[in-house]
Amino acid sequence: MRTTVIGASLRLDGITKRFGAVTAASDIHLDVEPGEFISLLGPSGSGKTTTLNMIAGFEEPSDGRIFINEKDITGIPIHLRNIGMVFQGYALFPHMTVEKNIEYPLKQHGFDKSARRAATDDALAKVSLEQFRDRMPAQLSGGQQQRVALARAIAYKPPLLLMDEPLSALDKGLREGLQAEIRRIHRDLGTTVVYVTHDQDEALALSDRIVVFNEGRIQQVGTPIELYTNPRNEFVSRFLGESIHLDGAIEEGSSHKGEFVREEVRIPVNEDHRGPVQLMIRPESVRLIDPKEKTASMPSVEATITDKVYVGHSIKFMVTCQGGGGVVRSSAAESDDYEIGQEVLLTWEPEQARVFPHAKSIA
Amino acid sequence: MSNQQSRSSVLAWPALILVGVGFIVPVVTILVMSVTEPEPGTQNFEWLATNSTAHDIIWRTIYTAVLATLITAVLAYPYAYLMATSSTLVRSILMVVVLLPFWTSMMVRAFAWIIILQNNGLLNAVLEAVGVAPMTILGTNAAVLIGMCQILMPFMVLPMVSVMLGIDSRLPLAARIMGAPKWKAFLQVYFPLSLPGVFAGSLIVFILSLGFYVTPALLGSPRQQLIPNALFTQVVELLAWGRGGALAVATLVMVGAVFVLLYFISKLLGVKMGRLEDAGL
Amino acid sequence: MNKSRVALWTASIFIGLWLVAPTLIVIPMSFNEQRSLAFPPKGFSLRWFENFFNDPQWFGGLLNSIQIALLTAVLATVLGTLAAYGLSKVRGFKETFGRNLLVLPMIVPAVIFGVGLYGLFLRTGLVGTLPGFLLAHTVLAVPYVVVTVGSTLAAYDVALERAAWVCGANKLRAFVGVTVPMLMPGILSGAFFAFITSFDEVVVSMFISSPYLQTLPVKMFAGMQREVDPTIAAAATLIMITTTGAAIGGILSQHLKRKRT
Repeated sequence: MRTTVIGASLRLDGITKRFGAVTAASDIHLDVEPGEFISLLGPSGSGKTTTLNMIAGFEEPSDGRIFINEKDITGIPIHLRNIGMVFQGYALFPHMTVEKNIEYPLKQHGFDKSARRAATDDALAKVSLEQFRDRMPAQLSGGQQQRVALARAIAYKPPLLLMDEPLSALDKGLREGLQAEIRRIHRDLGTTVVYVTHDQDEALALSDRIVVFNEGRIQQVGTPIELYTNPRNEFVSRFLGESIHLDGAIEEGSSHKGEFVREEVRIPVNEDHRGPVQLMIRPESVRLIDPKEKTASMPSVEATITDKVYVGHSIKFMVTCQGGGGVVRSSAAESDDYEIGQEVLLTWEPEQARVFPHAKSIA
Repeated sequence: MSNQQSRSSVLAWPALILVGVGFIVPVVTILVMSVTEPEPGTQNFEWLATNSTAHDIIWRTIYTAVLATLITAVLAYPYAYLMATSSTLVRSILMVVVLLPFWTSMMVRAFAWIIILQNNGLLNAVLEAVGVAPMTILGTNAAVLIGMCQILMPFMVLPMVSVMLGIDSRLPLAARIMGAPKWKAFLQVYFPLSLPGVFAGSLIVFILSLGFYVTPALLGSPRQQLIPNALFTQVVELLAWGRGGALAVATLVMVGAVFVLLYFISKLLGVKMGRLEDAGL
Repeated sequence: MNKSRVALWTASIFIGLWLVAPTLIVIPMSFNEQRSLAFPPKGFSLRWFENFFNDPQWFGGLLNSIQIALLTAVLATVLGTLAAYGLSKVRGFKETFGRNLLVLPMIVPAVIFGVGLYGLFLRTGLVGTLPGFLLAHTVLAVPYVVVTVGSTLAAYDVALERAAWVCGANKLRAFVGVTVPMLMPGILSGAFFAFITSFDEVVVSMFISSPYLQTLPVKMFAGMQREVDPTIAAAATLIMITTTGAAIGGILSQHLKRKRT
């Protein structure tokens, strides 16, 4: 059954949360489209949960305002915000049956008995738990509890659905199955979803757009592909996916717009910035070359292989070099000969490299 | 914490006002009386400082409290250790054994000790049966201590157990692996880690011992009064409110002094004191 | 079992007996046939219980005690639960101050509180009145409720309350429909302990009672100082059954929560 609701728009207008001297979230600006699935991604303490708590109303912003459907809801009591939420650890009411849990928000929103019955049936069907309606939460497995929490959150079809690390307590196999279920429910309902997670793979798999948080600030907002191919800074590039990072500087070059310079090596880049930088290349864009095959026309960086891991059809090499290092992936057929400790050359196409100004030293 | 949520803290106000008005006011009233009754001045503290009966009462109270603390600590430690190192079932049974008498009437327990310790009581009947001369226990400090320690045991056992349960049971084993014999592993690893529980229990037990009224009144002798009994006598029988107030001040000063003393001892030994609520009353 | 374990068990069994067994002696004493508290009791009779229930002073004392303890339990449970919940919503100085204030009645000797209250009650005419007893006993019982409910609250997942709010419940409905049921084990055992605290209280009650309103423990205390009357043993047996029953209720209801989660 397809029962589409109209997703709400959400706008965070410079919200900030200070706890005493600590600023947990700083000047957060964000526009979420109706029906969009957006993830707040970041390590713990990055401000993503604080931001979610402000949207839900558990915390009041110290500064800034929050709009749902262009209506200012800052300071409005939680129960009048008309949102649904799936909690980390589910927060199912342990003293109520599955059915009573799902019915609870319907009751609070004044649905009459027959409407409650219909909506509960519908929500139970959506998560395929019809036969568990009279169970207590403690009698269910973790995955089933998670689905009850999901059903409770969507039962009254909220235009905005918040999810706080809903899958973090489950093991990997179950997590992937539930990701698919969440995607399907989102598609069916058309509700706007704000999803908090620290798991990059989960964010990449689920989201229309991802908001990357660090140290209380938004680092970058974009689609998964944008974030992967065009990270705006070192943090985003390291947090989403693997990469090689190299310190150096950009100087005026001859053939290209600029040249990345480290020691005697000069490598062309498409970059207007001049000065000290950090260069980032994704692992699949780097090629390993045997130093014996070095040619003058192919600019390259010397590196040493420190580790070698087989990952199915490809091999993951950890490499280090002066002022840099990272991960290189290459097909097993092509590079199985390289061994740990071996000196290699790294090379890449100029357009694959990204440059972050004012690079810090690499740990 | 949002403003919305911290507003819920007004729910604490009725109880705080009740305790503030219903408890603090009367306690402060009697303390103030020490310098206002029968007339403003320090005469009541002069009495406390110079009167030999008052001295005896204060020293007897301290001495009794110290003895009660030592006795309960020595008895409670093995009991708590057994609790902490046993299975959940055994621990629950031992816990009920400690908690049940804790909630059984203090009066009834004092009465039971009278029946046992009186001259023609159970104890002397048993002594007679095994051929030992009967003795007078009721009305002595020993009887008071027997009754007091029985009541105080839970306050010593509970903080000890809660600290002991927090000790990683692999630590003594680690010490054994490293070559320590069993007694050394216990003495050098387990015992120091359990000290915070001993301190917390001792603090509570000592403070509570200073306030015992029923047990000394029923099991002890009127000629060997402790502070609470003397306070009662002064106020209710002699109508000397000021002297009663001075005794109350003396008690609270001792309570404060013990807090300070144990605070410094625990700092010196580098252990953290548990909060009073951790006693698990 | 090795030697040290045997020693530990032996010591602990003796300690356990010392804690539990002596009190039980009042039961045989209360069925004594003779007017004596000497051990061992002789014969079997119910005359001391008859005496207890026929004497308006004893029986009246019991009824007073039950009435005061029930009302105290209700008052202390409501005030203590609200206080524990309210204090869980604040941090820092406010929380420390509130908690320490509320446990003071457990630490300050009852004699000091009692004598101070006596002084105030003499002036306000509250000696020997029901409101006077309720005030005194509620003050003494509230800390126990705050501690038991507080420890249940410490294990309570605040996300449950937040979930209720997000589901559209206002503060009151979330508190009544979700928080209170979750805290019920702590609230129940707090109520039992508040009942015992009042029912068993003697020191403060002695100061504030009058010949017109006296509780059972006060009557018993007076009796023990005056005469050898086995009716006291009957009273002691009744008190013991009541408080032990309530204590078992209190301990059991605390264990409810473990089963549920």
